[in-house]
Amino acid sequence: MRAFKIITLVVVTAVFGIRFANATPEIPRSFKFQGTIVADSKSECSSGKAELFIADAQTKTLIYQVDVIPGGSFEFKLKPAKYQIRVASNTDCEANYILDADGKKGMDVEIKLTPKKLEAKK
Amino acid sequence: MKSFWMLLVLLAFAPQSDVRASAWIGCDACSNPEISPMCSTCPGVPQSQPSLVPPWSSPYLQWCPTCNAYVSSPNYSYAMQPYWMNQSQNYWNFYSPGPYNGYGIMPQYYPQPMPYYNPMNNFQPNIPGGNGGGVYLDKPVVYMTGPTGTKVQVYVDQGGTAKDKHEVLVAVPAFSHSKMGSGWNAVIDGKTLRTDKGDYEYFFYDAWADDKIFQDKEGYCADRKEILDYMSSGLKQRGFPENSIQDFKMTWNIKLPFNQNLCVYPQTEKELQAGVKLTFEPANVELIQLEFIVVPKSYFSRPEAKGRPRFSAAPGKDFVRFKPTSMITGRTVAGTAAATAKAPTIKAYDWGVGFIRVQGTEHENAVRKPDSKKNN
Repeated sequence: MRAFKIITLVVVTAVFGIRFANATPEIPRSFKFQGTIVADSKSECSSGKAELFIADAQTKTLIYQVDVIPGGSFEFKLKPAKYQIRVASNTDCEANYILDADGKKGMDVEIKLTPKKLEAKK
Repeated sequence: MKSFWMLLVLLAFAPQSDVRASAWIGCDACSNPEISPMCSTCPGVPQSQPSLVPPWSSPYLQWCPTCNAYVSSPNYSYAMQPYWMNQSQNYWNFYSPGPYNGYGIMPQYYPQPMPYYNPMNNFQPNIPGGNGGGVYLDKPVVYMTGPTGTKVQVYVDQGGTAKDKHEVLVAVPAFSHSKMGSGWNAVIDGKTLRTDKGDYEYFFYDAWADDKIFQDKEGYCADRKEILDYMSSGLKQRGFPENSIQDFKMTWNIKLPFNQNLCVYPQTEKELQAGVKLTFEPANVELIQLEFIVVPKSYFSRPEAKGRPRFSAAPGKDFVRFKPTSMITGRTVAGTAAATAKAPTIKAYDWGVGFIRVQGTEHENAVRKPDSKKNN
């Protein structure tokens, strides 16, 4: 009986050891993503208003949509993931940004609006 | 003693769960036998193609009884078109209030509310009723009116601790911080709020709030169009400025779920101040809040609706507080006796629309039939 207990204890300890070694690391609950919308002061992008879209980069699911202004600021609490960020203004300017965050620290960014690139004429 | 050892062995070899939220998969959904009938051309409606877009996320769909599917109806048009409508093609859920799954907002896209946060399992809400927990307040916006040149500070209780019943998730512009709290500073200039980071028509926030702060006894159920009229009429009756009502109509004419019968539960400052509390400096600011929690009628037949602290059934009676005779006229918050004695000349108006948070995936309800014939 004693031998059985020792063997069981060894096996159980080994199994728990393996499980802890492979355990999923703790995932931060959220991180702060904040920043400013910037634009060249001489361009039309520095005026008007804009819309900021944050979508899941894989599924293209729109998560947040907010009104922003050139020169203005924003802050979001996001869960760690990969996001596609797009800003589109009413002056035909835009910015695209991929945010791949593990959530271990906050992010402070400048998102620069630039004039939309014209499609090549056929 | 033996049972202890057995239990230890069982625990060691117990299977680990690996539940991940699946997502709307577009045309790949055709491999799903439940959805695949919608992928073929619809007989009897030669010019219409069955759509894989969930019906509640598109204004261009209508129910086709002969083919038992939603089909395209490209004749829909909006009275008001904001400039950002040209982004509609980029997101499958553009015509939805965020990641909406036919019943509410999917919690897997947002940070877990602190009271339910489990650091070892960040993706599974551990909430009684399994309902995702709480309400997502979408786009509450604060307009302010008063004498031009008046300096105002709006303090926002952000919450977010394990004890809190709410958490602010978004702020535009970003909050500034002082010993008095976090929030926004501005100078009123007509309809504009001038800040050191630009001029705004309103301050914007999104938040999570616990079910229990809201009332769910009074409200109204109807089709989408009637609900839009009901909500904007409520804003008018509570004295919201015309520009704020126009903004409300423009946003929710696009973002309120389509092809569903909806129930709406209006909430005033009486309920809302128990969540994201707004206070002001100077103190003699009159705060008028009206936010609407919207729940599709079909949710109430879901099994988990019964375990929900609020919004488990349609409202029992109409929300009489819209009527001018019984209207709450707002109140001064954080005021001193001297300040409150004066009639407030500064007013803050806060509208928003909230949706329940409901576990689920985007495509699970895609094949659902309309709630009734009276849809738009």
